[in-house]
Amino acid sequence: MIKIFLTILAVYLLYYAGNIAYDLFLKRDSSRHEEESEEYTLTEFTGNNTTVKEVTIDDVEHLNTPNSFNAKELFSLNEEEPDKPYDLEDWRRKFESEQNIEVFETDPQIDEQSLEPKEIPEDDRAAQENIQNAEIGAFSDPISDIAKNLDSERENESPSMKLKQQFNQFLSLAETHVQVLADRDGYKVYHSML
Amino acid sequence: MIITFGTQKGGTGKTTLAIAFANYISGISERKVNIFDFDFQKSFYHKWKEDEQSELPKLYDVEIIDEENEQPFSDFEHLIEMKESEDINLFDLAGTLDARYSDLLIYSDFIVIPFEYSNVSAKSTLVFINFLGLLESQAERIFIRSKYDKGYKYQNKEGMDAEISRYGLILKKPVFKRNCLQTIDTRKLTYEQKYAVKNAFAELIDYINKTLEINI
Repeated sequence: MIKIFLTILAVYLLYYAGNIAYDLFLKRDSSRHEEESEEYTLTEFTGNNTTVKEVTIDDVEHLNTPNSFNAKELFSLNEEEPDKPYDLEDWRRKFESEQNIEVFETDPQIDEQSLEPKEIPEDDRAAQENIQNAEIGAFSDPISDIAKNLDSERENESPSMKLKQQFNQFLSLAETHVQVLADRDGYKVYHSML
Repeated sequence: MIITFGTQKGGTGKTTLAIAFANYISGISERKVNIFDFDFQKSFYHKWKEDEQSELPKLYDVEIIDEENEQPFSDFEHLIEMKESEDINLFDLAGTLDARYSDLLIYSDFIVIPFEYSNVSAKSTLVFINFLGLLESQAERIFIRSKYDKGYKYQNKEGMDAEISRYGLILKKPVFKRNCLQTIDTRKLTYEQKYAVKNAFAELIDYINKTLEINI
Protein backbone atom coordinates (compact mmCIF):
# COMPACT_ATOMS: atom_id res chain seq x y z
CA MET A 1 0.00 0.00 0.00
CA ILE A 2 2.84 2.39 1.02
CA LYS A 3 4.69 1.36 -2.15
CA ILE A 4 1.72 2.29 -4.31
CA PHE A 5 1.24 5.58 -2.47
CA LEU A 6 4.93 6.44 -2.88
CA THR A 7 4.81 5.58 -6.57
CA ILE A 8 1.76 7.86 -7.13
CA LEU A 9 3.49 10.63 -5.19
CA ALA A 10 6.66 10.20 -7.20
CA VAL A 11 4.67 10.31 -10.51
CA TYR A 12 2.86 13.41 -9.27
CA LEU A 13 6.11 15.13 -8.29
CA LEU A 14 7.60 14.25 -11.64
CA TYR A 15 4.55 15.63 -13.40
CA TYR A 16 4.73 18.79 -11.26
CA ALA A 17 8.42 19.23 -11.95
CA GLY A 18 7.75 18.67 -15.62
CA ASN A 19 5.05 21.36 -15.61
CA ILE A 20 7.38 23.83 -13.96
CA ALA A 21 10.11 23.04 -16.46
CA TYR A 22 7.63 23.47 -19.33
CA ASP A 23 6.42 26.83 -17.98
CA LEU A 24 9.94 28.09 -17.39
CA PHE A 25 11.50 27.15 -20.73
CA LEU A 26 9.21 25.82 -23.41
CA LYS A 27 6.27 28.13 -22.89
CA ARG A 28 8.39 31.27 -22.69
CA ASP A 29 10.20 30.25 -25.84
CA SER A 30 7.01 29.89 -27.77
CA SER A 31 5.62 33.25 -26.58
CA ARG A 32 8.87 34.94 -27.50
CA HIS A 33 8.68 33.29 -30.89
CA GLU A 34 5.16 34.57 -31.35
CA GLU A 35 6.19 38.14 -30.61
CA GLU A 36 9.05 37.91 -33.03
CA SER A 37 6.86 36.62 -35.77
CA GLU A 38 4.40 39.42 -35.18
CA GLU A 39 7.13 41.95 -35.39
CA TYR A 40 8.44 40.31 -38.49
CA THR A 41 5.10 40.49 -40.29
CA LEU A 42 4.62 44.09 -39.25
CA THR A 43 7.98 45.15 -40.59
CA GLU A 44 7.35 43.30 -43.78
CA PHE A 45 3.97 44.89 -44.06
CA THR A 46 5.27 48.42 -43.59
CA GLY A 47 8.32 47.85 -45.79
CA ASN A 48 8.39 48.37 -49.55
CA ASN A 49 9.12 44.79 -50.41
CA THR A 50 5.46 43.77 -50.22
CA THR A 51 4.20 42.22 -53.44
CA VAL A 52 0.72 43.29 -54.44
CA LYS A 53 -1.19 40.47 -55.98
CA GLU A 54 -3.67 41.41 -58.60
CA VAL A 55 -6.98 39.61 -58.41
CA THR A 56 -8.72 39.61 -61.72
CA ILE A 57 -12.29 38.71 -62.52
CA ASP A 58 -11.08 35.39 -63.91
CA ASP A 59 -9.58 34.48 -60.53
CA VAL A 60 -12.89 35.17 -58.86
CA GLU A 61 -14.70 33.23 -61.54
CA HIS A 62 -12.46 30.20 -61.10
CA LEU A 63 -12.52 30.31 -57.31
CA ASN A 64 -12.91 26.86 -55.76
CA THR A 65 -16.21 26.85 -53.97
CA PRO A 66 -18.05 24.06 -52.22
CA ASN A 67 -20.42 22.06 -54.37
CA SER A 68 -23.40 23.39 -52.49
CA PHE A 69 -22.73 26.77 -54.04
CA ASN A 70 -23.43 25.43 -57.48
CA ALA A 71 -26.47 23.46 -56.49
CA LYS A 72 -28.83 26.35 -57.15
CA GLU A 73 -28.57 28.60 -60.20
CA LEU A 74 -29.08 32.27 -59.49
CA PHE A 75 -30.53 32.94 -62.90
CA SER A 76 -32.21 30.09 -64.63
CA LEU A 77 -31.33 29.75 -68.31
CA ASN A 78 -34.70 28.30 -69.17
CA GLU A 79 -36.26 31.72 -69.51
CA GLU A 80 -34.70 32.23 -72.93
CA GLU A 81 -37.23 32.15 -75.68
CA PRO A 82 -37.24 29.18 -78.03
CA ASP A 83 -35.30 29.60 -81.29
CA LYS A 84 -37.20 31.19 -84.11
CA PRO A 85 -34.35 31.85 -86.53
CA TYR A 86 -36.47 32.61 -89.58
CA ASP A 87 -39.05 34.91 -88.07
CA LEU A 88 -37.79 38.02 -89.83
CA GLU A 89 -40.50 40.35 -88.59
CA ASP A 90 -39.78 39.47 -85.02
CA TRP A 91 -36.04 40.09 -85.49
CA ARG A 92 -36.67 43.32 -87.28
CA ARG A 93 -38.85 44.67 -84.49
CA LYS A 94 -36.14 43.74 -82.03
CA PHE A 95 -33.42 45.53 -84.03
CA GLU A 96 -35.52 48.60 -84.55
CA SER A 97 -36.37 48.94 -80.91
CA GLU A 98 -32.70 48.54 -80.02
CA GLN A 99 -31.80 51.16 -82.56
CA ASN A 100 -34.38 53.54 -81.10
CA ILE A 101 -32.79 53.16 -77.71
CA GLU A 102 -29.36 53.90 -79.16
CA VAL A 103 -30.61 57.02 -80.93
CA PHE A 104 -32.30 58.19 -77.75
CA GLU A 105 -29.09 57.77 -75.78
CA THR A 106 -26.83 59.40 -78.33
CA ASP A 107 -28.89 62.47 -79.21
CA PRO A 108 -28.59 64.39 -75.94
CA GLN A 109 -24.82 63.88 -75.97
CA ILE A 110 -24.53 65.43 -79.39
CA ASP A 111 -26.63 68.39 -78.29
CA GLU A 112 -24.45 68.96 -75.28
CA GLN A 113 -21.28 68.80 -77.32
CA SER A 114 -22.55 71.11 -80.00
CA LEU A 115 -23.75 73.64 -77.43
CA GLU A 116 -20.34 74.20 -75.93
CA PRO A 117 -17.74 74.00 -78.66
CA LYS A 118 -15.68 76.92 -77.35
CA GLU A 119 -14.41 74.98 -74.40
CA ILE A 120 -12.60 72.50 -76.58
CA PRO A 121 -8.89 73.27 -77.00
CA GLU A 122 -7.70 74.01 -80.55
CA ASP A 123 -5.66 70.84 -80.87
CA ASP A 124 -8.46 68.54 -79.89
CA ARG A 125 -10.99 70.31 -81.95
CA ALA A 126 -10.33 68.58 -85.26
CA ALA A 127 -10.42 65.17 -83.65
CA GLN A 128 -13.59 66.06 -81.80
CA GLU A 129 -15.21 67.21 -85.03
CA ASN A 130 -14.34 63.97 -86.72
CA ILE A 131 -15.99 61.98 -83.99
CA GLN A 132 -19.01 64.23 -84.04
CA ASN A 133 -19.30 63.92 -87.81
CA ALA A 134 -19.15 60.15 -87.56
CA GLU A 135 -21.87 60.14 -84.92
CA ILE A 136 -24.03 62.70 -86.61
CA GLY A 137 -23.64 61.00 -89.97
CA ALA A 138 -25.74 58.14 -88.73
CA PHE A 139 -28.53 60.00 -87.04
CA SER A 140 -28.92 63.56 -88.23
CA ASP A 141 -31.28 64.95 -90.82
CA PRO A 142 -30.12 66.05 -94.29
CA ILE A 143 -30.45 69.79 -93.71
CA SER A 144 -28.23 69.85 -90.65
CA ASP A 145 -25.77 67.63 -92.50
CA ILE A 146 -25.53 69.98 -95.43
CA ALA A 147 -25.24 72.96 -93.11
CA LYS A 148 -22.45 71.25 -91.21
CA ASN A 149 -20.68 70.42 -94.45
CA LEU A 150 -20.88 74.02 -95.58
CA ASP A 151 -19.44 75.21 -92.28
CA SER A 152 -16.60 72.76 -92.38
CA GLU A 153 -15.85 73.66 -95.97
CA ARG A 154 -15.36 77.25 -94.97
CA GLU A 155 -13.02 76.22 -92.19
CA ASN A 156 -11.06 73.74 -94.20
CA GLU A 157 -8.93 74.78 -97.12
CA SER A 158 -9.57 71.65 -99.17
CA PRO A 159 -13.25 70.77 -99.30
CA SER A 160 -12.57 67.79 -101.52
CA MET A 161 -10.52 66.26 -98.72
CA LYS A 162 -13.40 66.83 -96.34
CA LEU A 163 -15.78 65.18 -98.78
CA LYS A 164 -13.49 62.24 -99.12
CA GLN A 165 -13.31 61.96 -95.36
CA GLN A 166 -17.07 62.02 -95.06
CA PHE A 167 -17.34 59.49 -97.85
CA ASN A 168 -15.01 57.13 -96.00
CA GLN A 169 -16.93 57.62 -92.79
CA PHE A 170 -20.17 56.76 -94.56
CA LEU A 171 -18.57 53.73 -96.14
CA SER A 172 -17.25 52.39 -92.86
CA LEU A 173 -20.58 53.07 -91.17
CA ALA A 174 -22.35 51.24 -93.98
CA GLU A 175 -19.98 48.32 -93.61
CA THR A 176 -20.28 48.03 -89.86
CA HIS A 177 -24.07 48.25 -89.81
CA VAL A 178 -24.69 44.94 -91.53
CA GLN A 179 -25.42 41.94 -89.36
CA VAL A 180 -25.97 38.27 -90.01
CA LEU A 181 -29.59 37.45 -89.27
CA ALA A 182 -29.64 33.74 -90.06
CA ASP A 183 -27.35 31.09 -91.41
CA ARG A 184 -28.95 28.44 -93.59
CA ASP A 185 -26.47 25.74 -94.48
CA GLY A 186 -23.77 28.36 -94.88
CA TYR A 187 -25.98 30.74 -96.87
CA LYS A 188 -26.28 33.81 -94.72
CA VAL A 189 -29.17 36.22 -94.49
CA TYR A 190 -27.92 39.71 -93.71
CA HIS A 191 -29.76 42.54 -92.08
CA SER A 192 -29.11 46.26 -92.29
CA MET A 193 -29.15 48.08 -88.97
CA LEU A 194 -29.37 51.59 -90.37
CA MET B 1 -32.97 60.77 -116.94
CA ILE B 2 -30.03 59.15 -115.20
CA ILE B 3 -29.82 55.41 -114.78
CA THR B 4 -26.81 54.13 -112.88
CA PHE B 5 -25.54 50.58 -112.71
CA GLY B 6 -23.70 50.18 -109.44
CA THR B 7 -22.74 47.81 -106.67
CA GLN B 8 -20.30 47.87 -103.81
CA LYS B 9 -18.49 44.83 -105.12
CA GLY B 10 -17.28 43.73 -108.52
CA GLY B 11 -18.05 40.46 -110.23
CA THR B 12 -21.83 40.53 -110.22
CA GLY B 13 -22.03 41.20 -113.95
CA LYS B 14 -22.63 44.92 -113.66
CA THR B 15 -20.85 45.99 -116.84
CA THR B 16 -22.25 43.05 -118.82
CA LEU B 17 -25.76 44.00 -117.74
CA ALA B 18 -25.09 47.66 -118.45
CA ILE B 19 -23.98 46.82 -122.00
CA ALA B 20 -26.95 44.50 -122.46
CA PHE B 21 -29.32 47.16 -121.14
CA ALA B 22 -27.80 49.88 -123.33
CA ASN B 23 -28.14 47.66 -126.40
CA TYR B 24 -31.63 46.59 -125.43
CA ILE B 25 -32.93 50.09 -124.79
CA SER B 26 -31.30 51.43 -127.95
CA GLY B 27 -33.30 48.85 -129.85
CA ILE B 28 -36.67 49.70 -128.36
CA SER B 29 -36.49 53.41 -127.57
CA GLU B 30 -36.46 56.46 -129.78
CA ARG B 31 -34.57 58.41 -127.16
CA LYS B 32 -30.89 59.16 -127.41
CA VAL B 33 -28.75 56.92 -125.26
CA ASN B 34 -25.55 58.34 -123.72
CA ILE B 35 -23.20 56.06 -121.87
CA PHE B 36 -20.73 57.26 -119.25
CA ASP B 37 -18.13 54.80 -118.13
CA PHE B 38 -17.28 55.83 -114.59
CA ASP B 39 -15.30 52.65 -113.91
CA PHE B 40 -11.56 53.23 -113.58
CA GLN B 41 -11.03 49.98 -115.48
CA LYS B 42 -13.03 51.49 -118.36
CA SER B 43 -14.28 48.06 -119.43
CA PHE B 44 -17.37 49.44 -121.17
CA TYR B 45 -15.38 52.08 -123.01
CA HIS B 46 -12.66 49.66 -124.11
CA LYS B 47 -15.28 47.23 -125.41
CA TRP B 48 -16.97 50.04 -127.28
CA LYS B 49 -13.66 51.14 -128.79
CA GLU B 50 -12.86 47.57 -129.75
CA ASP B 51 -16.19 47.28 -131.51
CA GLU B 52 -15.42 50.25 -133.75
CA GLN B 53 -14.04 47.77 -136.27
CA SER B 54 -17.41 46.10 -136.45
CA GLU B 55 -19.51 46.56 -139.57
CA LEU B 56 -22.62 47.03 -137.56
CA PRO B 57 -23.76 50.61 -136.91
CA LYS B 58 -22.91 52.34 -133.67
CA LEU B 59 -25.80 52.34 -131.21
CA TYR B 60 -24.55 55.00 -128.82
CA ASP B 61 -21.52 56.98 -127.69
CA VAL B 62 -19.50 56.11 -124.64
CA GLU B 63 -17.65 58.75 -122.64
CA ILE B 64 -15.16 58.05 -119.94
CA ILE B 65 -14.93 59.85 -116.64
CA ASP B 66 -11.58 59.39 -114.95
CA GLU B 67 -8.94 61.22 -112.93
CA GLU B 68 -7.97 63.46 -115.84
CA ASN B 69 -11.57 64.40 -116.40
CA GLU B 70 -11.80 65.79 -112.89
CA GLN B 71 -14.97 66.38 -110.96
CA PRO B 72 -17.42 65.91 -113.80
CA PHE B 73 -20.19 66.96 -111.50
CA SER B 74 -18.61 69.92 -109.83
CA ASP B 75 -20.88 71.77 -112.17
CA PHE B 76 -24.02 70.80 -110.38
CA GLU B 77 -26.31 72.26 -113.02
CA HIS B 78 -24.92 69.91 -115.61
CA LEU B 79 -25.93 66.93 -113.50
CA ILE B 80 -29.43 68.30 -113.02
CA GLU B 81 -29.61 68.99 -116.75
CA MET B 82 -28.81 65.35 -117.41
CA LYS B 83 -31.40 64.28 -114.89
CA GLU B 84 -34.10 66.38 -116.49
CA SER B 85 -33.06 65.57 -120.03
CA GLU B 86 -35.18 63.41 -122.32
CA ASP B 87 -32.06 61.41 -123.16
CA ILE B 88 -31.24 58.22 -121.40
CA ASN B 89 -27.97 58.81 -119.55
CA LEU B 90 -26.56 55.54 -118.42
CA PHE B 91 -23.66 55.32 -115.99
CA ASP B 92 -21.56 52.27 -115.30
CA LEU B 93 -19.72 52.46 -111.98
CA ALA B 94 -16.75 50.50 -110.73
CA GLY B 95 -17.07 47.64 -108.29
CA THR B 96 -15.33 49.79 -105.69
CA LEU B 97 -17.12 52.83 -104.37
CA ASP B 98 -15.40 56.13 -104.91
CA ALA B 99 -15.95 59.57 -103.38
CA ARG B 100 -16.54 60.95 -106.87
CA TYR B 101 -19.69 58.86 -107.15
CA SER B 102 -21.49 60.67 -104.33
CA ASP B 103 -23.40 63.24 -106.37
CA LEU B 104 -24.27 60.76 -109.06
CA LEU B 105 -25.60 58.27 -106.53
CA ILE B 106 -27.67 60.97 -104.86
CA TYR B 107 -29.21 62.44 -108.00
CA SER B 108 -29.65 59.38 -110.23
CA ASP B 109 -33.26 58.60 -111.08
CA PHE B 110 -32.63 54.88 -110.86
CA ILE B 111 -29.82 52.81 -109.50
CA VAL B 112 -29.79 49.32 -110.90
CA ILE B 113 -28.04 46.97 -108.51
CA PRO B 114 -27.19 43.50 -109.79
CA PHE B 115 -26.74 40.99 -107.00
CA GLU B 116 -26.23 37.32 -106.31
CA TYR B 117 -27.16 35.21 -103.31
CA SER B 118 -23.57 34.37 -102.43
CA ASN B 119 -22.63 35.54 -98.94
CA VAL B 120 -20.14 38.08 -100.23
CA SER B 121 -22.52 39.55 -102.75
CA ALA B 122 -25.48 39.54 -100.34
CA LYS B 123 -23.49 41.38 -97.72
CA SER B 124 -22.01 43.93 -100.08
CA THR B 125 -25.46 44.60 -101.49
CA LEU B 126 -26.63 45.55 -98.02
CA VAL B 127 -23.51 47.66 -97.49
CA PHE B 128 -24.38 49.46 -100.71
CA ILE B 129 -27.97 49.92 -99.54
CA ASN B 130 -26.70 51.35 -96.26
CA PHE B 131 -24.36 53.63 -98.10
CA LEU B 132 -27.11 54.97 -100.35
CA GLY B 133 -29.20 55.56 -97.23
CA LEU B 134 -26.40 57.53 -95.57
CA LEU B 135 -25.94 59.60 -98.71
CA GLU B 136 -29.70 60.17 -98.64
CA SER B 137 -29.87 59.18 -102.27
CA GLN B 138 -33.11 60.13 -104.00
CA ALA B 139 -32.74 57.36 -106.55
CA GLU B 140 -35.10 54.44 -106.89
CA ARG B 141 -33.22 51.25 -106.10
CA ILE B 142 -33.84 48.39 -108.50
CA PHE B 143 -32.31 45.05 -107.63
CA ILE B 144 -31.70 42.50 -110.31
CA ARG B 145 -30.72 38.90 -109.66
CA SER B 146 -27.65 38.29 -111.74
CA LYS B 147 -26.03 35.02 -112.83
CA TYR B 148 -29.02 33.22 -111.39
CA ASP B 149 -28.98 29.44 -111.55
CA LYS B 150 -32.45 28.04 -112.16
CA GLY B 151 -31.62 24.56 -110.95
CA TYR B 152 -30.13 25.58 -107.63
CA LYS B 153 -31.98 26.27 -104.41
CA TYR B 154 -30.51 29.32 -102.73
CA GLN B 155 -31.14 28.75 -99.03
CA ASN B 156 -30.98 32.42 -98.14
CA LYS B 157 -33.15 33.61 -101.03
CA GLU B 158 -36.32 34.10 -98.99
CA GLY B 159 -34.57 35.98 -96.21
CA MET B 160 -32.48 38.17 -98.48
CA ASP B 161 -35.43 38.99 -100.72
CA ALA B 162 -37.45 40.07 -97.68
CA GLU B 163 -34.60 42.24 -96.47
CA ILE B 164 -33.69 43.80 -99.82
CA SER B 165 -37.30 44.48 -100.82
CA ARG B 166 -37.54 46.89 -97.90
CA TYR B 167 -35.26 49.23 -99.80
CA GLY B 168 -36.42 48.98 -103.38
CA LEU B 169 -37.81 46.81 -106.10
CA ILE B 170 -36.46 43.33 -106.78
CA LEU B 171 -37.18 42.38 -110.35
CA LYS B 172 -39.19 39.17 -110.33
CA LYS B 173 -37.43 37.88 -113.41
CA PRO B 174 -33.76 37.12 -112.86
CA VAL B 175 -30.99 37.22 -115.43
CA PHE B 176 -29.95 33.61 -115.66
CA LYS B 177 -26.40 32.46 -115.85
CA ARG B 178 -25.82 32.23 -119.58
CA ASN B 179 -22.60 31.73 -121.46
CA CYS B 180 -23.87 33.75 -124.40
CA LEU B 181 -23.67 36.91 -122.26
CA GLN B 182 -19.93 36.50 -121.96
CA THR B 183 -19.47 37.38 -125.62
CA ILE B 184 -21.65 40.47 -125.55
CA ASP B 185 -20.58 43.51 -127.58
CA THR B 186 -21.80 47.09 -127.82
CA ARG B 187 -23.33 46.84 -131.31
CA LYS B 188 -25.97 44.17 -131.04
CA LEU B 189 -27.83 41.65 -128.92
CA THR B 190 -27.96 38.18 -130.41
CA TYR B 191 -31.18 36.24 -130.16
CA GLU B 192 -29.87 34.23 -127.21
CA GLN B 193 -28.56 37.30 -125.44
CA LYS B 194 -31.83 39.12 -125.90
CA TYR B 195 -33.71 36.09 -124.67
CA ALA B 196 -31.50 35.95 -121.57
CA VAL B 197 -32.23 39.52 -120.49
CA LYS B 198 -35.52 40.55 -122.06
CA ASN B 199 -37.85 39.48 -119.25
CA ALA B 200 -35.89 41.28 -116.57
CA PHE B 201 -35.33 44.38 -118.71
CA ALA B 202 -38.97 44.54 -119.79
CA GLU B 203 -39.93 44.56 -116.12
CA LEU B 204 -37.29 47.19 -115.40
CA ILE B 205 -38.45 49.47 -118.21
CA ASP B 206 -42.05 48.99 -117.12
CA TYR B 207 -41.13 50.18 -113.67
CA ILE B 208 -39.21 53.18 -115.04
CA ASN B 209 -42.17 54.16 -117.21
CA LYS B 210 -44.56 53.84 -114.31
CA THR B 211 -42.38 55.73 -111.84
CA LEU B 212 -41.55 58.68 -114.12
CA GLU B 213 -44.91 58.51 -115.90
CA ILE B 214 -43.21 58.47 -119.27
CA ASN B 215 -42.88 56.12 -122.18
CA ILE B 216 -39.34 55.25 -122.98
